[in-house]
Amino acid sequence: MDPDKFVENAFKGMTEGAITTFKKDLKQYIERFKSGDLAFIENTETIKEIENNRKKPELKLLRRYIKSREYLLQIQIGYHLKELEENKKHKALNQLLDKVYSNWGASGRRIAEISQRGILSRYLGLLLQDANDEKSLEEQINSLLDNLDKYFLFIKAEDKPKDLERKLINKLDANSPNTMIVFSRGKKPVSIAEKTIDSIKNKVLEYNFEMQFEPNTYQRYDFIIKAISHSL
Amino acid sequence: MELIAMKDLPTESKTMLLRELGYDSDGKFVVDPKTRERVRDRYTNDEVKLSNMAIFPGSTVLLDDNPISIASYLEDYQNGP
Repeated sequence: MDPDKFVENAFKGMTEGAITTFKKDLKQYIERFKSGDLAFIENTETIKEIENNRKKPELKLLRRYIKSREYLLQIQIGYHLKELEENKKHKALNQLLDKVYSNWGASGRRIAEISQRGILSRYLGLLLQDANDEKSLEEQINSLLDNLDKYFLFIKAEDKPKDLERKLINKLDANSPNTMIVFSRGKKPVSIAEKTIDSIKNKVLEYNFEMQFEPNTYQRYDFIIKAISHSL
Repeated sequence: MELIAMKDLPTESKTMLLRELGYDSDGKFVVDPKTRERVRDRYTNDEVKLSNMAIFPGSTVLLDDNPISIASYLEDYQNGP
């Protein structure tokens, strides 16, 4: 029996005859359910989007280097956040962000957001350019995800370049990361990022700077990469 | 795996389905038929409502149909828990 017919039959008023027909159809569906052939879901749109995201080549590649189930889930949710944003479903997007936070806390939310913004895939691309072995690549990606609060900076419109410069240099001195990532989105944050990065370039000589810009979304990605690991 | 959309199913039909699967409802939430306690989503701990439930095979997994729960289920059952 066709699923639409199954649902349609459920509506044919709950007369005795209709209930009997529905129960008969239901029993057939239950048998198929018990053999793992089907699932019941309120809205099929969400699961279809999630299944499509799981097939992304980017995720398949990331799975080689990221073994944490939670990180992989947070990355997948990031893809979903991106779709909600592109489809202007702001209420659903904010609800999902709240849910991510209540499930996984601030760090989980941060990972979902960097996935949403395409930061992780760009970083992976940079690492792949220069990595000589998979082990060091794996270490670098996981180190970033384990320490996002130390190695990632998100620039907002109200930030001041001088304060950011100080904050960035302090983070680089204190943590000595292999990579620091600075992300900005929108005209003012991008302009602040440009000023800040320009001002620190000559002050942190042990690091190289790689900038990428996405004009469609007006997003700027600054990767501050330690020169030593870069030259492996 | 085929998906049956329950969005347009009336409450009575959803309740019939739940009873066939060993659950029940109080009209709004899914409940355990013996204890009458509300069933919780195993991934988010949300109480599962009739209006947004997802029922997956594999020991009849009852979830809230939010992206986190669905992604978690697929991750566990397609990639191993």
